[in-house]
Amino acid sequence: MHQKKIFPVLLGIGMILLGICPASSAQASAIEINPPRLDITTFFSGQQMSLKSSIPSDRDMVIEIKGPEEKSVFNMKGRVGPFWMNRVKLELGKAPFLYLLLMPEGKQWPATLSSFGVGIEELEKTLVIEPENVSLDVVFPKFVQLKRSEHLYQELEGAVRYSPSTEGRKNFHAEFRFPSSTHPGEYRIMTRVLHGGKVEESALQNFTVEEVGFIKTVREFAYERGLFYGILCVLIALFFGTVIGLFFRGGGAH
Amino acid sequence: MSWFIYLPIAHHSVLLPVIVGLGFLVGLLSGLFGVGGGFLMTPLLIMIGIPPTVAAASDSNQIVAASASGTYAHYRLGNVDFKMGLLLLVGGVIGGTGGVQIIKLLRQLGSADFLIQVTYVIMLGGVGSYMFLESLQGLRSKEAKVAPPVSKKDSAYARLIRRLPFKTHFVKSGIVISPIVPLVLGGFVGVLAAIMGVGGGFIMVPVMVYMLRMPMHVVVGTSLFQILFTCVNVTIMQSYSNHTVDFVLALLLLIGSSIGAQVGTKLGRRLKGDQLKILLASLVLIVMVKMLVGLLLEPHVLLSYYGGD
Repeated sequence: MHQKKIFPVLLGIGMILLGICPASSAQASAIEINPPRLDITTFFSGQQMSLKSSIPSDRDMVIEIKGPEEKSVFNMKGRVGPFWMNRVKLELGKAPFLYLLLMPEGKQWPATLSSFGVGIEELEKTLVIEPENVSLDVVFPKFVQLKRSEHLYQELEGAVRYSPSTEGRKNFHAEFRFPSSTHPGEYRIMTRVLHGGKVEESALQNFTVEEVGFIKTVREFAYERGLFYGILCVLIALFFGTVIGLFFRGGGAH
Repeated sequence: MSWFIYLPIAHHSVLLPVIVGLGFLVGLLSGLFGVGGGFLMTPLLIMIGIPPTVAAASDSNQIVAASASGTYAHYRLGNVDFKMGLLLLVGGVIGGTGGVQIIKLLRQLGSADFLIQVTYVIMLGGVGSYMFLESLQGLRSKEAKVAPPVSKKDSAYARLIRRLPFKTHFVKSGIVISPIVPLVLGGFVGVLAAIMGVGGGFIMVPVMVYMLRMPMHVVVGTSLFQILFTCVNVTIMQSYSNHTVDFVLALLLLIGSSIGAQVGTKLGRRLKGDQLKILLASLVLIVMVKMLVGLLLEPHVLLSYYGGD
């Protein structure tokens, strides 16, 4: 009997944790994500994605794509006499690998969204820095500059486009690209419907990026059997080096 | 068919011809000069978006192929002095272990990066300039058919070398010298290589030429033989400890580098020793200038991923 009651409760908690449920009872129903899943295969070179749904015609839609959170180690350069060199080694935790903010045209969205805690600058609040004696206020702008230079952090005005629909609604359509350096993991797509300068509704959908096939096999082998992997890498390198040497000898070019 | 390929450890997609082409270019230098090419390849890989730690470790893996290919090619030409190579290798391993301890101490003192970079510039500048001027003088004197000036009395270094015991004949190199000399010099290069975080080929080559007085062509083959063992060790250790060797990246690079090493070896045979030295000296000086500019100009982005420059 108990098992019958516990199961739906656990399922509900699980769904909330996984972010499958909308954050509020949204009119902005679950958006259509195309393609619906992303597999990283051997010949992966990035993927163009499209998001679409409809909202009431007097509302605006803003989409935030974030994830997966990572811990990265950096060198920060500083000046010593006439030289620029690495002065501090630091670690940044809870920083999303990718952050994209897709907005409609106009209305100075970044300033509006900042008041709701949305935008690249707002990420500073969630980051964790080590060692603690290094100021996050100093490091964060440089971190954003680095991520922007890699096109991994972007705020794209005009990326959300509207087209007329029926019954007082309009369709929205947004496109973005997972870059060629996409990391596997859970990405969070947060949609917000705005009206009168306020967030009226929000919904969260998770999107999984997974490595498959050969890529997955190599990665698992490298992490689970590091020593054998290393020896195999050496043997293959020796084999190729020698075979190519023999091939050139066979060609009689020398 | 896509020309892109995704690297499972680097988490980055790369253009296949670019990576094979990079491998070929560095392999060519390897076959020509007997250097591993890590000092050139790793920054190039970082430039195209490969994480620094993965770039350095995968480069070691591809150098295994290039140096195996190059060593084999030079072996067939009779250009590898195995006895000398082994002694330098043993010295290098001992020196490298000591160098790692020195760098640990420097890091604790908080001035490691400064000292590393300044050592780099001074070493590259000194070695490159000396090689360049000496080779230029050699080429000019040959053109003028005048013998280079011979010093009237031996240097202190030459007198010291002559006094050392256990004299051994190194047939391929055509020299008679105590095995203590290559052991000590190998150790010296090992210390420097560990401090500078490189394989040491571009330091070892001038050491063999100027301090061991080995012929240039034998130097190239013997240096490659030694680099092969160093990089086998680095590849296995990096795979085991840090999981930073990207096999797919290394495979693409090594296809290019193995062919490049063969072409470089054949090209090298057409050049005279002094011509080879002047080309290597130019390359070393270019890298030195690039490093110096990097030290003096404010970088565009002050934050970089750990493991880079």
